[in-house]
Amino acid sequence: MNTYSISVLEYAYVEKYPEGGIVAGRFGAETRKLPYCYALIQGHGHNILVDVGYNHKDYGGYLGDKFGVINWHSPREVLEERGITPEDVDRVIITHAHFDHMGNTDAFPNAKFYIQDRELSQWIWAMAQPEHMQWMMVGTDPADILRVVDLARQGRLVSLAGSTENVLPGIDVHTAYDTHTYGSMWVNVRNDLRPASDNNWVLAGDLVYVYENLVKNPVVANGEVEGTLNLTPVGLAMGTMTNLVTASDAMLKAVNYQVKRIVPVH
Amino acid sequence: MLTRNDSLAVRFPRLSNRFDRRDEWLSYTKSIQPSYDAIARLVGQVGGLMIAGASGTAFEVYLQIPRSLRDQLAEAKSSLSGVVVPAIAMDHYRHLLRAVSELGDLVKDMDRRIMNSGHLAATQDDILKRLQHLVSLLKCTADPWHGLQHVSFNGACACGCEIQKGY
Repeated sequence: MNTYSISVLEYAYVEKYPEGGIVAGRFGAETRKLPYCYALIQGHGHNILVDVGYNHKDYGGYLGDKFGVINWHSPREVLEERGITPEDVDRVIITHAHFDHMGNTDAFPNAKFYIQDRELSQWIWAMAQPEHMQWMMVGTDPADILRVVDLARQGRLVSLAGSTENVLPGIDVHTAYDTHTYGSMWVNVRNDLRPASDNNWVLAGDLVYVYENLVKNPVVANGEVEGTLNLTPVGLAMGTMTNLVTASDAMLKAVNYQVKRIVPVH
Repeated sequence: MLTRNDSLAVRFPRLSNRFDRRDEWLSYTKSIQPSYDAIARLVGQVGGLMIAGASGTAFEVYLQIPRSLRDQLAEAKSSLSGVVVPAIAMDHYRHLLRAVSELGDLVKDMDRRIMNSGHLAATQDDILKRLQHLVSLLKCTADPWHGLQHVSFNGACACGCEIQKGY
């Protein structure tokens, strides 16, 4: 029995993103499309989003002009395809605090938000470093942090201190500290609600962008992902590449090494 | 679908003087950037401490900050005061002076509250309002095409370095 349905919803994309940003070590000039997505989990009386995208109003034009991020659609347009509105979303899990994942919290007025304590506390630490160390702040918008302050003020923020089981029935969040960001997390959906599920799906956030982060020359056919396991991290780590590899292995373990059950969202 | 017409310069003609690449504007934005970035980071830190305050960890988080908010603000002030301001940028500069002044009051306030008791909840609404005003000043003075932007996209998911256009 499936308790939840899971949809990955693309809201914008970069047409030509350097391969090296997607799979570490690919130093050539090759590019590929990089979609911007969030995931919707529906069931058990809930509409749960994993991440919320970015705030087009503030810098959508700039992202389009300078970096070629195009085809942005509002959450209202995107969710309409699944038959719901942003107001229907009652829970949001923020995998990490980059602008393209946490930048549109205002669009979901009735949702409660979950984020790792460490993600925020380490950003504060990074922001306090001198100018020449500010690479550590890449992709983080202080304006987003203020929106989270407002969520806390309204009692709509749940700060998590580590991995947490059953954030909602059958849905666990797992930490991947010092990987893509300082307090990243991934989401395990146990669709049969059993503690030792054999029908679970992992939403990887930005810990995995594509199947090539998990297997060599993946072949996707008949609902399966085939290929030899070969963990290669994504191209951006605020923490370490080693931690990204061990986090990928932890995700694979959670799904008994069935690669198709890891959902690379970005 | 985004088009060239989404460009800030096209959407907001009043900003056009910031996009015409006049040398004095370029030189000004380059020299003002460290102050602008420092203000943005201070706003983020105060905001982050507010969130930590809501979960009762503001004091611990504050202690791990490697440089005090006051020291960071003093650096921003000093950097700002050394900028040569062309006539074209006077209004812009005044906005940033105002931001630094407002931040000064806020930082003093936060410092005192966290060090004395860690109680932030009572003043949460007031502090949030002041922070939001500071962000609006940062947005108003942003010129992302010349590096004044409160979030850095370089190296992040948006950075398709290959296709960056020559603004």
